[in-house]
Amino acid sequence: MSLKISTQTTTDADSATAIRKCYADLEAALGGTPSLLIVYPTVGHDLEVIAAGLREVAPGVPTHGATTCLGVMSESGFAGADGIGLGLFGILDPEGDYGVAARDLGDDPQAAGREALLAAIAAADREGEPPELVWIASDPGNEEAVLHGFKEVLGVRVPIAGGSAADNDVAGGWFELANGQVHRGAVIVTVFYPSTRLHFAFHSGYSATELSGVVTRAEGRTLQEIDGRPAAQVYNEWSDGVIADKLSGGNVLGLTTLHPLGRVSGDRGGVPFHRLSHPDSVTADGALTLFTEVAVGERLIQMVGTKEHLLTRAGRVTRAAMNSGNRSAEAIAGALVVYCAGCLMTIQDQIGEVADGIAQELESRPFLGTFTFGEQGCFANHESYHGNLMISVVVFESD
Amino acid sequence: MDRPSDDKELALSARVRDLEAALASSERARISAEEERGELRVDLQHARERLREVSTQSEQLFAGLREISEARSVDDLFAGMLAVLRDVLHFDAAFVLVFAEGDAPEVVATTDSSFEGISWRGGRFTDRVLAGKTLALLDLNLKEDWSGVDAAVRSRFRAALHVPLVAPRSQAILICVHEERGFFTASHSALAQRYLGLANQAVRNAQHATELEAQVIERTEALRQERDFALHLTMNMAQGLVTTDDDGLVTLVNPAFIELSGWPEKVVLGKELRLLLAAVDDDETGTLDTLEDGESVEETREYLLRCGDGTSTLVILATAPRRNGGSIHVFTNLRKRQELQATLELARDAAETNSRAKSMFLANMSHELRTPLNAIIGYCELLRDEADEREDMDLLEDLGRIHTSSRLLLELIGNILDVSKIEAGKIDLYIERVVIEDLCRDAVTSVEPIAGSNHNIIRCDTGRDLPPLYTDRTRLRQVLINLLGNACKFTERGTVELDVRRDASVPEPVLRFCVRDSGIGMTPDQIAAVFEPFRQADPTPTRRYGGTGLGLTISRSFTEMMGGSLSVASSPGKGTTFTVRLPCGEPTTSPTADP
Repeated sequence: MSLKISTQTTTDADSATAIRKCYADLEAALGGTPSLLIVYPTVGHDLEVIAAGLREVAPGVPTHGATTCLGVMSESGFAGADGIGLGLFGILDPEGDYGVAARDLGDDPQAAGREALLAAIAAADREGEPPELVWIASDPGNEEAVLHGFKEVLGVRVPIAGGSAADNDVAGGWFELANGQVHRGAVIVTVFYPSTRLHFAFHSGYSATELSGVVTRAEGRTLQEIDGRPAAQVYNEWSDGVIADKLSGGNVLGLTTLHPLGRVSGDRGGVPFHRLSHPDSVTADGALTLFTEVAVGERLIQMVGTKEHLLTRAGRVTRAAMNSGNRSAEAIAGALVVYCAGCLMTIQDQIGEVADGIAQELESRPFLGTFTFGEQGCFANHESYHGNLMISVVVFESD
Repeated sequence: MDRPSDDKELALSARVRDLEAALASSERARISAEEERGELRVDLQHARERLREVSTQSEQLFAGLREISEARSVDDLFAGMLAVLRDVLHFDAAFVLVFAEGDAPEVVATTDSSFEGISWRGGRFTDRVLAGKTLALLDLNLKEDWSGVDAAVRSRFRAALHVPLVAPRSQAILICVHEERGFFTASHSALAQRYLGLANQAVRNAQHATELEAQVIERTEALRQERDFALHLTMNMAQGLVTTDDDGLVTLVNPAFIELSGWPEKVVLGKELRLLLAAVDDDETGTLDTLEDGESVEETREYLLRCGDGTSTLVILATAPRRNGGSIHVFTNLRKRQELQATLELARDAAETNSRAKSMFLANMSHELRTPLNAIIGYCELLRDEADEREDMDLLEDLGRIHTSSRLLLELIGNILDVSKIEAGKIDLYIERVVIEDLCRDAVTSVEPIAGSNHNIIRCDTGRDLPPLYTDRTRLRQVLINLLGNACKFTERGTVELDVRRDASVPEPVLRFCVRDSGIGMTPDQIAAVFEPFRQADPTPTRRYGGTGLGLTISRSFTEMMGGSLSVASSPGKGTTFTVRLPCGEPTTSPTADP
């Protein structure tokens, strides 16, 4: 039995029309009611209308969703106009099982993650069985805790991937969506028990420099000192002054995109895997705030990237995902792609080239890419992490 | 003044910008190259790992196949298979659970004795596995299917992987367990799938071996029963039986042999059989060499068996080789048979003597009786003539009774004489050319008085172009008169016909004499007994019809002596037909002339 995938995108600003048309086209392409739907609308859409539309056209179909930054990308290119776009991804897999659940993060994101995962597994009617993949969409800010909740249930061997909800301007307007219901401040978890194999890759688009230091003071996502010195000052020196004008405090998100901080999360063949942390502001006391947590004693490496890398990297990560399963594009039904919204903002109008690169690797098989404020994925050493400025890809075999 | 300096400064600035741009470009190129190098190293490492993985898996598969093909027992077979799979799946323990129709699931192999004899409750999860899905469990305590397994086992092992196996006549599951919760993932399921063929082959081999074992047990039991039956026959057969080994030494004797030979069993066992035997004739002593050599040949021969009481008994010894070496010897006691044969011969001789004496006596008696009886009849006829002349009707009537009785007595004596001659083989046939018409007319004329007394019409019809007949005229005439006389006797106011035709149903020249009457006829039981001596259709003491009851017996005997046959067809109330079939050709010899 084969697994079929279809993706549909639109820039139609009418939420009701957008979701209905996308679903109709998707169902027609699949030739049946999908086993799972994943929807990524921008915040310009009316989420309640989209949720209602999904309840109406796809009742009972497990549905996973979160807002995306500025648009989506697919084998047809980037779909986003004036901050409006919507992408719909569907899997038809009668012999597979899929379950979606949501939990508000509240005061205990770890517990929320654990409970959402158990609920998703129950929704797939596979209690006690490890899924082949956990796909996540969380409100940004507590992803590490959520992942800890998952590992309480699954151990460390089940791959986790996905991306955090995003808006268009980091204004906190993001939402999540699960099974026809809109959520805010929640984590959405989808468990995959497909009838075919899937493969994944998780990479940054950056290279390590020789500059590094050890965290000597930090709290959660606030990095206060590196090697005993104020973090913002150290970072400014490492990055050759990209935040020189902001050392007294302020938003630095747009300035640091090509200069994230990295931590080694393993290696393969002597080549280290880095998960990245994106500095987004400088505090008045000279600390850096990040989109990931850091801990005292961790070694931070100054990473460096270029716009060219951000354009070509997603295609390479897609190829790496296929390589990890020793599969070529002929064996692939489609893919899910998570691309950092920060990178999108850096390359801006050239995002179409990213979509083209992925489509070329997949030989035009369907894929849906979302732009996120935090990426989760599984490295080649089978360890799953949360990171920034990352690209996460999952490819699904067709047979 | 400043212009050259400014120009130079501008040029230098431009040069610096160019160099910075080139530097930046170089840096990007370096970063890009480093990144690509890193990717290539990852890809290379990945390719190496794949190659190593494939190579390892191939080696493991070959090792596994070798293990299960060389296994000498089901336990070895499963142990080999599980050892290979442990290297692949890295489980802490594993067992194979077999689901045979109608039986509770049974653990047939395990790497850990904790799983021996577990109670598997099954359930929907198990059903899904049996339907063909390889399924992992994060924690085996999460499924009701495991609830029957001992709690200590369930607290020790956490994760489980369930792999369906396909066997020809039952289903089975390979269950791997690990102490780490969530140890088994989709990767393990995929790996297990690659080794499924090996595991299935192991189960098939095990099932085949188990079936073979069952067949061996069944066949062994059948052989044991056959052996018991053969032993029972041997020990209870009337003939003596001895088995010898390749050296001709006795290995077994049956009770009949012990009785025949008079030797105790313990004396005979281990001895050379030939020592118990002697040749019947001196020139046959060489035959004992065969027994001495222990040579297994199939033969039957007479010997003298040396018995325990010092005597010898004549026996027939039938010897046959055994398939696995040695011989079987069956002794038949000829002494008893000879004694019985001698007794029978004596009885036969006595019977023949008695028969000859009886025939002689009857012949003599018949002759002695007929001579005075003929005188009585002759004088009686003379007296009847005188009484007739005197018209002394009372005397005439009395003399008529004497005459009739005397004639009947003479007929009876004649018949008894004929029967005795037939039994004694003293009938001589005189073959001559017979004129059929004359013979038939003569026979009819002879019985006309009987026909007239019963008011019967008697006819004779001899067909034209009859072939010449060579036979004993006197005996044939006697047969026809007998048949016609019977017909007239058992018919009143009816017809009696003698019809002679060539028998067209056979190619040879055969004449058919039919004596047909319209008389009382016979039942099938009467027909069946009609040719027996001294039998008549009317067996009652007050029977209406006279006669000795020997006529038909004699007629059939005469007919058969002449090479023909006599048959009868009849129905009660519808008359009777006797048919004599006689070959026409002149016989070269007569039956009596060639004893």
